[in-house]
Amino acid sequence: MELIISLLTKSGIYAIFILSLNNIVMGKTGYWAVGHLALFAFGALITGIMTVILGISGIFVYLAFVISIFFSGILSLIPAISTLRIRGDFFIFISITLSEIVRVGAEYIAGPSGFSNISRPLGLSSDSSLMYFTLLIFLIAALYSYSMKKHPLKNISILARVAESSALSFGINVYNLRIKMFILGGMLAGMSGSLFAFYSNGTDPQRFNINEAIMLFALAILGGVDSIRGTIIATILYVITIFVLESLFRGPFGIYAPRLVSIFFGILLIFSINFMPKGIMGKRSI
Amino acid sequence: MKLNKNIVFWIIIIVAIVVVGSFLFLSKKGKTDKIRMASLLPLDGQVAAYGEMMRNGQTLAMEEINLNKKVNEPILEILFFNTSHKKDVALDRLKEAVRNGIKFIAEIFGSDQAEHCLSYAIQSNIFILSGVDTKPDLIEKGQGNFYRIMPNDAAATEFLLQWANDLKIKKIAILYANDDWGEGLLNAAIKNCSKYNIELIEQRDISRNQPSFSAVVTQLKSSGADGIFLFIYPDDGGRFLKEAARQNLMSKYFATENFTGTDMIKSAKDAAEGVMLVVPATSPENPKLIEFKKTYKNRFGNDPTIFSIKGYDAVNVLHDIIILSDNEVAKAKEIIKNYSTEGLSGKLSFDENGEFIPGVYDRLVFVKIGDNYVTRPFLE
Amino acid sequence: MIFDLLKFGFFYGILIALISLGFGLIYNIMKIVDFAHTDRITLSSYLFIILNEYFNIYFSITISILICILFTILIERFLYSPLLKKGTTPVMMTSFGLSIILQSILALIFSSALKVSSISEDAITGIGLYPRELILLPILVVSIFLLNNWLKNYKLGKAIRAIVSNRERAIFFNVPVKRLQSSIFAISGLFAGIAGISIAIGSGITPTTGFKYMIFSFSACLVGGLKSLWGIIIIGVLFGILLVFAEAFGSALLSEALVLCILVIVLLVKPEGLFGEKLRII
Repeated sequence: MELIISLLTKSGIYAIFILSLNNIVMGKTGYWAVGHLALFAFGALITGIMTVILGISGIFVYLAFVISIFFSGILSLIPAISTLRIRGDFFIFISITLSEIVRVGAEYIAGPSGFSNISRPLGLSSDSSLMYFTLLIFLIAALYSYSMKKHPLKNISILARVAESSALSFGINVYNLRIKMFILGGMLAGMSGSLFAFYSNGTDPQRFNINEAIMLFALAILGGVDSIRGTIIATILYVITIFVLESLFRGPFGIYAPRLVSIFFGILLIFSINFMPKGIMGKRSI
Repeated sequence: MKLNKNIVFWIIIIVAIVVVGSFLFLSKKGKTDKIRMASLLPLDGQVAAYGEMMRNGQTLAMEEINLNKKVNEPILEILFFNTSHKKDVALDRLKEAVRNGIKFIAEIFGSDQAEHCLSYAIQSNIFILSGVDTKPDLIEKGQGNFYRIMPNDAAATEFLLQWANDLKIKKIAILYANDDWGEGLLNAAIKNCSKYNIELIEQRDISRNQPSFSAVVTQLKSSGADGIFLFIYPDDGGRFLKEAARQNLMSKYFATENFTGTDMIKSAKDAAEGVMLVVPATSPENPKLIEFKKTYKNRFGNDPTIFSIKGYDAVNVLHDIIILSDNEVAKAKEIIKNYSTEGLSGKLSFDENGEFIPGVYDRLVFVKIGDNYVTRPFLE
Repeated sequence: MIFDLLKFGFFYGILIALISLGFGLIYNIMKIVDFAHTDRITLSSYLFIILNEYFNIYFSITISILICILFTILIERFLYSPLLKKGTTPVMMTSFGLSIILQSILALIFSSALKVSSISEDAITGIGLYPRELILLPILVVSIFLLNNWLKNYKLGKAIRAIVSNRERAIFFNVPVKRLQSSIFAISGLFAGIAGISIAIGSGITPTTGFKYMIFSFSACLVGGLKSLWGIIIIGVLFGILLVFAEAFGSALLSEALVLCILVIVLLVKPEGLFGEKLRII
């Protein structure tokens, strides 16, 4: 039972993250946010700083949760503003660099193995309550994302993504729209990072490194851009692959599991980007 | 090929549920009458060599116990887990061990990892015994669930400072790994410095696998320290020593027990000569130790280090305690307070708080014999 | 002390410049940043250490560099070139996937502990530098002059410049694009091999060592301007000096963060790099 709870919590956390990546940032703006994990890491880092260094506990941890979401939104301004000047491959460079900076910063502030003993908010101290909370947040985020798809004015954002200059000529404030989406995506990613910190009671920088970012990006592509079902598929694939490989390689053989996970996702990345750009569930490529 | 996406979606979800369910079903284990303990070691990553040494020592201890057991006694089984020297992996493995019904842990390697596991250990009432974790406040934080048979950092740094004082060293610099282990040693050293009239003039943090040490050495050279304390991981330490030899940094180097083994020598090569280290004492005349060294060498091809010896001791102590307490954690916590035994690494006993009562340390120095560098006792 | 730091920084910078040059060459010919470039360095380091256990040093250097070059060409021929028609971004992501796969395979084979070569080197008395560091300087200088000369004065070099400036038109004029592309990749593989051997002798190697160097050289490339080889080299050397100074007065993490922050600022303010020409994508 404990195992199922932990798997479901993990799925919920990564589902929120992948939703923010493939539905909000990539789906609505069309930018390859490869280093989106930076915002996840940043959310976790801020939560760690608030609860471990500043020593917040009890009901005020909710405040830390909100503040880390807020700061992640602010950090996502950097890639958002950079889109005013650069696009294409150069956006990937800046995204990767940002994710590296956050990792180095996390290592500097929290040490190479991260914070430990992050206290959970009041009422969420048990694993099952955290699971319900995470799944609830995912449900709300998914519903919001779904409502955006059904919104009567959805064509505005599609036009802004597909044909920027013609959208500008219609008087649509493309930049404003894009920055909004980046901030929303950043806040969702920060939220999932913060939840991850609560779930694992720590912030291991190994979870935030660039390879992890690329693997999650690959999964977001494989699931399908702009598709909530794709998000769920990608999350299940991520959690189940790690679970199966770790169950198969137990004890002293456990050293093989993380490498095989990386090899599997590396191959998946090459395959999905080149031969399946629409993903399993998506209707279009980015 | 046009599959309905809805069908694909539900197929994947059903497959996932089936996979998780089957693994859960397979992992269900019946009750065993074995005595079981778990050991969480880094078999991967920067300190994998030490994890391996510890595992060898523990395996030998297990085999010996099972060989000498009485007929009606249950056999001992140790489950090894790999933590990759990462905190959250360690916690996951601990949870896995607890799911398998294990209440006694023979080792959580690394103070960071152990500390991260403590709150879970207290919550689910697990008994942890460690042979290597040296962070000073671990016992206090463990609230009766954590014990160790290794003296803490404060003891090690006092012996180092005493030694430096004996060698008339007045100014020291400290290089420390930027994690909890390194910082723990640093803080202990800062606290005890003034006691020995030694001035700490420089402290540098070293991140793991730092690409180059030339800047650090250049700066230490200009600081003019007589002695340098190396609280860093052995491969980094070896590379630092190599760089120091190139820049002719004339100083004495002190280190703790983690420089034993071959990792440091492999990187440092000729620069390893003269490095001094304090290691918890083992009495070389102890017949059990001589016997252990022989078996170890026959089995694994090299000499046991302090990690193998502590691993062996930890398993023996924990086995005794499990037998005495009838496999109950609450009873074990009472028993360990009055427990005392003669292990390979000297007398093992605990004070009323459960902290290990430290013995003495050996002063060792690296010397070249033939083509190899080995440690031998330091002679004045 | 300042002089010493400058000296070590300069030679560290030479190594970074050599790696960055490989990055820059690949970018210019194919318009991609090859993230697997530094993993070829790791590969050649491992090859060298393994070979050196059985054979003498010169043989193992030659063989490991040759295998590294061959590996680079094979990747280009069978992975990058066929995928290039899908656009540059998929190829870049492919190279990242390749990098992850290579790192994991190396970690499976050699474990993630530091692997050290058995060569014990002595610094040259008086200068305080190792021969392997000194030799990188003439290698870099000679290769940059040869490259420049070749690109300016010879027919094939001119053909390469034609590909760099306009790929479609070069194909139209029957320039042997594929062969020239492979030769540029081979040169970049050569640089990677040399750098790998220097790192292997100097500090030993782990499967993820290449990553640290990737950050530095990737930043040097983008800050210097991807299109200007001289810019890349100058910034590479300057970064080496900067890194050593930041390490001396701060810490290794600080130096890493400093380089990355410079990169972000340059990307935000002057995306074409300090020495680069104006990019068309802006």
